[in-house]
Amino acid sequence: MTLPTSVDNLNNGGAAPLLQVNGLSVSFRSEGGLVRPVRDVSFEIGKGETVGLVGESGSGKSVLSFALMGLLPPHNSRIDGGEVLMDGRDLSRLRRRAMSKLRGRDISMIFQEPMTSLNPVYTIGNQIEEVFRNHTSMGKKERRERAIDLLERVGVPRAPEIMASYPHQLSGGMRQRVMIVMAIALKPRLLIADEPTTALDVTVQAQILRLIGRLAEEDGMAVILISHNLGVIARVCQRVMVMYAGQLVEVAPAAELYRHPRHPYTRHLFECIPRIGMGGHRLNYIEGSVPHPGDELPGCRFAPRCREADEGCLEREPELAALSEGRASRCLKEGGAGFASGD
Amino acid sequence: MLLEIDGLKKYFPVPGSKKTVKAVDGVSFSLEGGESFGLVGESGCGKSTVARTVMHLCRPTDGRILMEGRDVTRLSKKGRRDFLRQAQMVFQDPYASLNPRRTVFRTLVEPLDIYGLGTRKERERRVMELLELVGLDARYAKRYPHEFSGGQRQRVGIARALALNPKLVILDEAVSALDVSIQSQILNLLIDLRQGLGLTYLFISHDLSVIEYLCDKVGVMYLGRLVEFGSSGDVFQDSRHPYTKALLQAIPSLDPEDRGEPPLLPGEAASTASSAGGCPFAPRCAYAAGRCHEEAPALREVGAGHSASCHFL
Repeated sequence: MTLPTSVDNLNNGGAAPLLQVNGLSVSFRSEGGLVRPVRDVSFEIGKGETVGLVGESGSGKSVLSFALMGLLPPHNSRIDGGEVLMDGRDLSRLRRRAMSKLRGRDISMIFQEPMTSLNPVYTIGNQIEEVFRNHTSMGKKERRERAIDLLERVGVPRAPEIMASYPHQLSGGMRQRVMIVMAIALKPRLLIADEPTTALDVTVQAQILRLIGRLAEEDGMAVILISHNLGVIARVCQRVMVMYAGQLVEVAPAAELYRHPRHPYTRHLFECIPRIGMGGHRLNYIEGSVPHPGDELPGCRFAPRCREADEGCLEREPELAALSEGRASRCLKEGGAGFASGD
Repeated sequence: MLLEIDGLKKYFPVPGSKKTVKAVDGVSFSLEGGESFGLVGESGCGKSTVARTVMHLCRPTDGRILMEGRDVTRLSKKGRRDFLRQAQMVFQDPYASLNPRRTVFRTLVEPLDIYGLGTRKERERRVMELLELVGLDARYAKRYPHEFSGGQRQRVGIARALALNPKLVILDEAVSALDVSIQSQILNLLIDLRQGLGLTYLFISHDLSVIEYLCDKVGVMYLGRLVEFGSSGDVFQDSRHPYTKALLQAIPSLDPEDRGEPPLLPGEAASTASSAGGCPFAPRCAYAAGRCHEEAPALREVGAGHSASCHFL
């Protein structure tokens, strides 16, 4: 059974979206059977739009980003349904060769730990130039010049010297800048940044977030910023999608989400975050833990942990329903007309 | 005073050279019984090395550690054994610090066995008591670490640290790997345990908000030294050192309209080793002047129980 998709055009403008994801579902074969980390996810990203995807571990946010990039492991995972449309093409059905041509050129990704995404045995220069070698016909000299320009643009000091060094010789922040250079080298229209600052110190995090925001603005590049940290998302994003147990549960313009979260999960999350100046005020927490991606629940997937849930929430599955322009929430109590499973 | 750290230094040799890394370079502070002291700073500032030195996991290069007035800096094997009954540690990653092939029962009973405490029956009872204390069901005793969620594993890590009824618990990034919804559960548990058992905490973290939530007193470390020290209220509401201010400003606000574009702290601590003799923060400091590059400022009192090390105070 597929869920009815009642929310269209959740982007903030009427223009044709850059990326349109419709009813995307991903399943993995695991020892315990089939698990479904991404369940019927639909959204749009406008050109040049910065969108945050927030969720705790187990929410499916990273699997979703891998699915968008065509990087799901082929031996044990598959896209069960839905489509990922860019320029009228369904990326989820592209062959590997076509997808790898598109990666870097149209969509790029940066990850949490730049050390594991950089090759330890090649110099930084070599790895940046490889992007141009693979995707362009640039000559050696031009490749090198472009690489140095880009390093300088992202605030790497002594760029020519850094070109000759190896990843282990750089700090975490510098490595992440190098990853950003490789990701934006071909001027992609969409950058997916998956927890890009989680391994970094807070002062370096602030530098990298400002850099991502600046690059998006200067190049008109759209960004999907994935993070478990609502503060990080607030610094960069115009719009926010909240993901829980494989589903989008709330979508809203950033300012509205932070001022007036509509889904109980989003509200619960905010109450868990310690803030400076709260002193003495006791934090709330969310009972229990995220359901396993293999668990099938008859009702709302958040209901077992929700302080606002009643019996109906355990029986009827809410849909992601539009609340107002650009806002949607998946909650029976917020007007999310539900349907009993089996309807 | 329960714990006094006096002029602690820990230098590590750099392999293949005559240089040393001054991980901890003259740190002094003290904890009264029942207090919760937070040590905060960015990676490489030496905060974990302070914890490891107190726990005798590495030997200090210089300085003294006193527990209830007694010098415990260098201990014999037996002395260390006695010391560890009073001081225990909780680590960041409970998955890495719990033996995957042992049930929770065996993990929790081990310290009691080692110290030969009680009869077998009494030890069993104590394990059940510990589980209840950290909010885990008694039936979890027979389970293995992989059967638990991250939050539950950290509860086991805390229970193990409490097994011997220590006075001092050192928590090294104990909630940093947890999701916020779980993190807040563990923070509340730590507050309850401290009140209920009269524990003293040395809480190490890079997260200032977590430190403010849990701690009465705070020390801010930068490149091996304390740069500011005081009550939570003083350090967070009336911070005096430019580094503390910069750290606080770097925390992303939960208000998307408050992108106030604060002045960014440039560079990174590890890559900006100061010239010999100057203030360690000078290379990144917006206010640094001639004197800052030549002479390291000492910690100076700026209010009752509030000190900071900056020439411009």
